Amino acid sequence: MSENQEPSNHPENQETSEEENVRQRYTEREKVEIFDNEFLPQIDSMYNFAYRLTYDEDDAKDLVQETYLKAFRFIDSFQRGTNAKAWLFRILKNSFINDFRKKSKEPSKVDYQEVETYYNSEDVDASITSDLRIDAVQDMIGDEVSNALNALAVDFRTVIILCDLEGFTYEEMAKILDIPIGTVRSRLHRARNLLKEKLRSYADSMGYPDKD
Amino acid sequence: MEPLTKESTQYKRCMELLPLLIDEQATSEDLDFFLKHSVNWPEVQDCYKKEKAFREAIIAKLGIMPAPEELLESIRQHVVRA
Repeated sequence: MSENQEPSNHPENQETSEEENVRQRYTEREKVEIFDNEFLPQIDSMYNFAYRLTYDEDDAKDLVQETYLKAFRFIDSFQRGTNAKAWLFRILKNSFINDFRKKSKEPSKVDYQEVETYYNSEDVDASITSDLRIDAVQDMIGDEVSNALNALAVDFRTVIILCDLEGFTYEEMAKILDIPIGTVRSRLHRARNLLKEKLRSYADSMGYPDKD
Repeated sequence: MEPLTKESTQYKRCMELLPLLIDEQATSEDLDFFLKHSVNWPEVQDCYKKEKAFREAIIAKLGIMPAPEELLESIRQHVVRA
């Protein structure tokens, strides 16, 4: 994972360490090379993340475009050859929180009480899984699964996207989301179980058997 | 050989590894350890298989949507202007 963060003067990131404030001095040509070779190849993943956050094609396009403009503007705080994808995802996530999420009338609220205590619990095996017949999921079409994912609070949705669809490590997710690794893990576990509950409700409504 | 109990270090380690394996954050050594020792507890192996299958099903159903073609060009134009 890159140690790069958005720069300290970035309006969306007020807390950065000295290490994170190291800035490069790229020539204009180098900036274009970095942008073309390291940033733009991430566009599909960026759009996918943005769409699953906003659930709207136009908003997703705006969010991705805004993210790339910010990335170019603050390119001197990116260290060439490090994890561009994680760096871009962090900017996108912050842009979503600061700009797009405010537009929502009812921002998603998550009760983390139960979530945060999960990994402090000794009763791990009892709570590790919420059963769901996999055949039922396999019988569904992508849109049905997508709708179930979008029905989750955005913080839960995000960890599933980052881990399962984008393959980020716990450490990368922690940096993208500005939360401790333990919180990433507990949130991920809770998110999966919530997703199963949504899918089970849907499977029930469609008459799929939901238990083995 | 007498089966290991849930008080054993192997069981505790398997349970520590289970979420890491489900999230694909474990090393190959971790996976080897888990596969070797979790045979003592079929319910643990069953949980791992179900969770892994669920994750794979979700990934297969959701997939990655490609960005619209015009988006790339639009970004390039905006960056040039910036």
